[in-house]
This record gives sequence, structure tokens and C-alpha cells, in this order.
Amino acid sequence: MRKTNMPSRRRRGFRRLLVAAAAVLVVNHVFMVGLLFPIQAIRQNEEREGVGRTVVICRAWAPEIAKSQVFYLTGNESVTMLSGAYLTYLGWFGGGGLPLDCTEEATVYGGWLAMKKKDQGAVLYAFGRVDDPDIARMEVRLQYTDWKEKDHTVLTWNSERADWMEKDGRYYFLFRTYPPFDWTEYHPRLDAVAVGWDEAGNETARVELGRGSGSISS
Amino acid sequence: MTRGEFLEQVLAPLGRLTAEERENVRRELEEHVEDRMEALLDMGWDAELAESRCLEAMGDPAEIGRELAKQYRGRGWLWIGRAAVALTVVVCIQALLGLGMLSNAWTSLEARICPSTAISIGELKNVEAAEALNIRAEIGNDILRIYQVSVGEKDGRRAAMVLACMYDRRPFGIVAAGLRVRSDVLNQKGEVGTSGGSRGNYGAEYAVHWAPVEPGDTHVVWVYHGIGETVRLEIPLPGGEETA
Amino acid sequence: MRKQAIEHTRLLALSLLAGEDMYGYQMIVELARRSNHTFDMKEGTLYPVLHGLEQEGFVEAYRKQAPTGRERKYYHLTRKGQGALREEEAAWKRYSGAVNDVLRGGAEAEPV
Repeated sequence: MRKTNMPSRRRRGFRRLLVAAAAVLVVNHVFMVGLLFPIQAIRQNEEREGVGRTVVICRAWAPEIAKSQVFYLTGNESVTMLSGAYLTYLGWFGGGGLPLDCTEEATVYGGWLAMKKKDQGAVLYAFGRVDDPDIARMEVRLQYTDWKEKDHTVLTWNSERADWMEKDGRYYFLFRTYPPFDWTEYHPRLDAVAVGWDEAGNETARVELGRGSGSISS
Repeated sequence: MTRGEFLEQVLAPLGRLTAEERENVRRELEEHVEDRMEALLDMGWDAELAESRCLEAMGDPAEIGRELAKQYRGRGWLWIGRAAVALTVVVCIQALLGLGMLSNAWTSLEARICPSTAISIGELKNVEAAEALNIRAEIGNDILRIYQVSVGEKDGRRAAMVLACMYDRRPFGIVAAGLRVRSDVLNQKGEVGTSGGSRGNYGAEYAVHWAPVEPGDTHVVWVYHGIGETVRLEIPLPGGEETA
Repeated sequence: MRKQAIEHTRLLALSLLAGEDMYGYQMIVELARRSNHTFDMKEGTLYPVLHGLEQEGFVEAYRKQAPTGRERKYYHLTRKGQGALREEEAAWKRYSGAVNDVLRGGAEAEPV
């Protein structure tokens, strides 16, 4: 006896929801596209860099680069990473990240990452982790050395422990600037240095920040 | 009143139903009238009289319609269903547009089951011995797999060539990038060799490394520099070292 | 349509379906047969009740070929519906029991 089902609104809606969920799962994991949330793209970045599971420390939108460009500062015990994600018609994609290996015993770990979109804006981040509990004040300096071997300081961020973000007992910092100059001119010779002072004003750390950078064309 | 007019009056307040739902209501009521009609006609009633008797027995069409409308007030699941369909369509289109991404899944499965040796064709000359291996190490949530070692001649020197691949622990997971740049091969003397070709995508990475070896060497070492950990794998060279 | 009539109709519909799956017209006929034509409701008013039960998940619907040879929309009592039937039955017993009590109480008041 041929039987044709006539589902109620609730049953049909629920079934369609299940189908949608299954489709999203398959496409996300087998096709690796169609990511609905930026954090999924960040997880892909994590996998790609081989850093293991990290927690989100903070999130920063960068609409100067692209309307949907967002950066996440994430970290775990052995790694601190700043990575980005942006929205395309194929869902969220991860792009451009800088992981910092925090397993060596050091007082400050840091990196800086600059991104520029052609004919549009640029954004520059300095980020890292402060492991030394004595450091009370820190200055991050962006500088370049000209061909006469002279240092020019381009930008400075001053911060105190209160300005840093705390997560799982570790202190992280993230600074941002919109370079008022065309930093790509100085790009090859740009360096970043972090200097830390303790309560008494003694310099206890001087660390060169690792560099990462990227640009999106069009 | 005709049957048609009756049904129209019932359907009139049902604007909030989907077209499919309205059609179902119409069909169901019409079928009921049909059945009742058949019973009366069997009893010998006149067709016209039977129809008006049936419609009268059904009740007030406007009231039936109003009461029916009340049963379909909940729109929640309707919208959830519509949103779900939209999402499914979008995601399927994305999958079609991203069809090339399937190669990631394919590479991931291939490396796991039968790693490709195509990467190294013609690199080593005068191959003395070659051996397929299955040395694995877990690095983070990935698996590094050394799957072939050969001994022969490269650039005039006797060398061992090692093929390795890396893939995520989970079949459709993403592998960490940079197998080639993060790896070195050392011979027994500690000399670091050179790296050759590599290829890879999100599903798996392949790399080839060489190290110069002397007759009598028993192994070379593959070193992988991960974040926070360094892994050393000893790779036995294919047997038959004693060549007279 | 008085609310009481609708509620009774729900109970009647649920209990008819407890025995077997039926379609609307079949239920009307069966109802008349079982109650010896005491229930003389307007036939069309059964359908809002059935559709309400359907949307609430107490019954499921499907189309199947009836013994008459034509296709009809059948209703099936779900597990949830069985629970609702038990509840409605219990409520009815309480209600009719109370009515009976009142009537008997009135009868007992008569002098023997």
C-alpha cells in the first residue's frame, strides 16, 4: 500500500534543520569551505601553523583592510599567535598569521604584523606575551635603520601592566596603529623592539620582535 | 451554495497558510464531501439534493475556516525550515564553487593509505637499494610518516634519499604547513643534508630530503622542528651494506 | 462552536484513533456508529480539531489508498498523542464523575 507522508510544520522544519546542519558539517570538513564563523577560520589557521588548541585572548576588527577583516590574538602555554580572517562568498577564510614560539624561557615574546590593502588602508599590530612578573612598564618601538646605520624611531607604544590582557595567568599585549606614512617604503628595513622596566626603573628586558606581514591584492 | 463556493469560503481566512497547506485543506474537505455524496447517491438521493444536504451537514464554512486558521498560528517552525533550506542551498553552492578543495580530502586520504612516490622520480641515480618504510611519529595533532628510503647517487656523491609525508590525525583534518622547511636529515656524522621537492595542501604535505652516506652507514636521522618540540626519527638504511 | 464541544471532540478524535488509523469521513461514520447517533456534530468541524492535533504533534498524517479505492488523508496517533489521550480521558472521568456525584447527591436528597 503506497504511503505518502504529510509532515506537520514542526516535523518538516526540524527535518530541514537537520539536513542543513549535516550539509554545513560535511562542507566545512570535507570541502573546507562555507565556514559560518570567523573563529572557524582561526581554528584552521591554528592547524596550519601547527600550534595546537589555543584560546582567544582578544579580537580586533580591521575594516581599513577589508570590510570583514578581523584579527584574533590567541594563545596557549607554548604559543602566542595573531592571525586574521576575512569573509568571502565561500564563507570565512583564514589568512595571514604570525605564531610566536613561547617555549624558550624568555621574559618577553613579541611579534609585529602589518597588512596593507592596495590603494586603501594599512594596519600595523604589535603583540606578544610578557612572562616576567617583574616588568611593570614596557615600551614597544618601531624603528628603521637608514643606510647610514642610524636608527630612526617611527612609532612608540608605552604601556603598563594594567594595560595588558590577562588570560590563564599570562599577560598579553596587542597594540595597533594605522601607519600615517607609507610604511611599505621603509618596509624592508623596519624592526620592532620591546624594552621592559621593572618597578624601580631598571631595564630588565630588551627583545627584538619577530616580523610577519602580508597584503591583500585588490 | 455549490461545492466550489463552500470550499472558497472555508479557504478565505487561510491566508497565513502556505499554498501547499491550503491545497491540502481543500483536497481533504472535498474528499469528505465526495464520500458523503457517494453514500447518499447509493441510497438513491437526487444528485443536486445530495450535494446541498452534504454541504449543510458540513457546517458553516466561514466558521470552519476561522477555526482552521487558529490551528496554524505558530509560524516558528515554518521560518526555521525556510532558513534551513536557504542555508543548505548556500552551503551546497559553496561546495560546488569550492569543488577543487576536494583535492585536500583526497590527498589526506591518499597519504594515509598509500603515499605517493611520484614526487621523487628521476632524482636519484644508480639506485643501490630502496625500501618502503612505515615509521610514524605524532607531532601535535598530526602524524609524520617516513615511507621510503633509497640509497644511490646524487650529484656525484653517494646519498640516501628519504621520502616523508605528514597528515592530520583525523582523516579530513588540516595538516601543519612547512614539512620541508621544518625538517632536516642528518647522516651518522651529523652532517645536514639538503632538501628537494615538496608538495602539499591542507590535506597532506610531502617532502624529500637527501643526506650523503658512506658505505657502512646504518641509518640517517630525520629531524623535525615543531613549535615547542623537536622530533628525531632514526631511519635504517636498506640492508646489504657489505658490498665486496 | 462552544469551547466545550471542541474539547469533547478532541477526546473523541484521539480515542477513535487509538484503535486504528482513520481518515476524516471514516471517523465521522465510526463516531455515529459507536454512539448510536447521539453525537450529531457538524462534520466539517472535525477538521480544525484534527489539524490542531496534527500541528501539536499528537497525530501524524499521511496519504494512503482507502478500502474504497481512493486516496485519503489518514491520521495516526503518536506516542505523544497516546499520552494526551490518557490525560483527556482522566480529565473526562473527573468531570463526568463530578457531574454524577452532584446528580446522585440530588437523588439521595429525596425522601425514601
